[in-house]
Amino acid sequence: MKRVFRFLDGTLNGFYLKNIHHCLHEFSQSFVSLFAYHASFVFKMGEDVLEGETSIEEKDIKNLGAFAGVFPPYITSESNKGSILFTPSFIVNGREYSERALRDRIYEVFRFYRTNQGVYTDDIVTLSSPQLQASFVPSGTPILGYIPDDVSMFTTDGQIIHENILDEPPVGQAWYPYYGDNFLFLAETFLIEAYIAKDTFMELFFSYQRIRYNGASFKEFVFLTDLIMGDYIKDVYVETLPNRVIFFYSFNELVPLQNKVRRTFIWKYIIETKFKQVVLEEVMN
Amino acid sequence: MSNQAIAYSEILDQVCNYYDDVIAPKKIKRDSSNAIYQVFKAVAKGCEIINNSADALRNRLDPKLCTQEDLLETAKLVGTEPFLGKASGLYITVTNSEPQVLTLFAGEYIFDVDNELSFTFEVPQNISLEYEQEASFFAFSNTVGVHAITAMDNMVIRRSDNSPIHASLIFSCQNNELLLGTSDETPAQFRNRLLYDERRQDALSELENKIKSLPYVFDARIVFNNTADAVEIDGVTLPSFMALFMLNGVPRLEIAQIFCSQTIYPTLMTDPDKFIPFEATCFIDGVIKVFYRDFGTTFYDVEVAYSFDPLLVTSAEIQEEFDKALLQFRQNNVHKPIVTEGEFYEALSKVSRPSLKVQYVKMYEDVEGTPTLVDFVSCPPTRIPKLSDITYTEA
Repeated sequence: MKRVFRFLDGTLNGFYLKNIHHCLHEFSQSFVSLFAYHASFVFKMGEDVLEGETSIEEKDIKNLGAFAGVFPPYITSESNKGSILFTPSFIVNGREYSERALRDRIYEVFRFYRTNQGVYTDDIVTLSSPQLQASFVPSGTPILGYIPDDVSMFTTDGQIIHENILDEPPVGQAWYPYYGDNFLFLAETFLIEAYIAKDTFMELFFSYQRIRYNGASFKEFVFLTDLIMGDYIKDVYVETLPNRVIFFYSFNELVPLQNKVRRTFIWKYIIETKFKQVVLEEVMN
Repeated sequence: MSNQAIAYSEILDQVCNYYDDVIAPKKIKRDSSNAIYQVFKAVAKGCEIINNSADALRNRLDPKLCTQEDLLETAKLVGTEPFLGKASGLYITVTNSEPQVLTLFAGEYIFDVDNELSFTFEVPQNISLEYEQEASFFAFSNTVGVHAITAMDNMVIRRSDNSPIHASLIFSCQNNELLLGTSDETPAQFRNRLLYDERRQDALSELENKIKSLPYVFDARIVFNNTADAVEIDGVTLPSFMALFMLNGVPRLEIAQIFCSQTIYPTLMTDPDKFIPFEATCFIDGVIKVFYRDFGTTFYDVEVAYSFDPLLVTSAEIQEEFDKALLQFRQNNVHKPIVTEGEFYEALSKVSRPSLKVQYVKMYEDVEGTPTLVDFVSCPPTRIPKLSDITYTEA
């Protein structure tokens, strides 16, 4: 450093030296965050980490998955739901109340309203929101935009891509009206290949590895069903035949479980690859 | 700093540009007489080292980009390991050629192929052999890898303790083309498997790999029919929820223990004598029979056309090199669902001779006795593809 001072001579006023430090500090920042992450990352989701821990990044958990032979599967046909969704039965005190409901886009469940004869709620359209969407569009509702037939309307994590909504109907192409985020789209044109989010992939990875080490026992089957599906699975019974086990179940559509479609997909996917002699049979209520 | 390894000169340039921005409108003189520039040069060198370390750290869990050490360490962490090589096998038969009972004494017997390669087998207890009676033993090579032996009628065998062997005990062997060993999985092959083998978590694939890891098993395939209907595979009808177990190796008890270790898949009997018992008192009759079937072979031929300058290399030299490069296809003893021309181009590309150019590779499969041109050779899980004839064409 002695030479620096000698060279700078009269121009040395601290400004240059301060900026050398500033420049180098700036350069070190990318390393600092990387080293900090590698010193503290743990195999946990964000909500489970303790002080001083960092949740493993999505790309790292997927890379680890590749080491273990767990690749994120693409969900296909089951994700391609249209807006015509049928509500399940919803009975309160012996009365059917499944007429008025909004679809919870995040939890993939219906929320029912007007479930007490003595209590009047607002109009279902008034109650709707971007998360709780209505499928009924009142007469006279203005069209806010136009969705071309062949574009994806959702990001990989389920958010609406507003940029793909046109102001004018596309020429020479089929389109669907867009009435606002409060309404389910008449045709959900998102790609049939859906994305396995980090939390779902973590459970897929964890289940696979657990079965790899503990074996494909009935205990593990029950554990993984509870882990991935929770109370979404109901009315379970098992029939044992000489060469296979038939697992009967039905879905409890009223249970608020995030990413139901994806979870159901990976649950079936794991059973197909690990429990070859188990046959899943859904019982419709 | 970008997320990749960058050179010292680039880092130096970036640092100087950044410094230019903060001292604007002045600029740093990029000259070795400038002391600040000298400082930045030293810093850039340090940054290069740190950046390279950071780069390795950044890719530590990436099976495509991580270092060799990280690849093995991370794979081990999740229970995946490279395949180890296998020794070659050889069935050796001993026959009593004297019209009286002779004893083959217990001990270790060695067949020396040359100074470096030998096959060893063990006779666990004394065996009495009547006139012309035979006994067969499975011998292993002393090193891993492909060691092909052609059939021999009168082999020279010695005992490891150098005790004499009766001269009328005649040793012979068959070709060991289906018992050839393999080399250890190379780092590149291991990395490739991690990236592209999507069946590793499949329960049957895991079971196959466990069985294949046994030193005396050269290949194993399990086909499970988990449909409600019977399916036909290569002429074999596989009933619903039953497994077809293909085995190339020595059927020892350990295989049945592994096969039944997690889930017991009922196996299809194709030959009543080909089974390995898994004994346990909890079963009816105290035993589960794990039936297996030997692999068949799918033979195919290839035609290789090439051009060359006869002033620089002879056709005989080229064909000799090609024969060596394609030997792996002749000696293959593991199942592959398809064999493509691309694999041949890749193997032939390793032969480099002046002026030599491979023009094309054509594949022919035997269809009812007639060689038929095919785009690729498809092989059912019950068979092992083997290259039979090579035809060379000078284009």
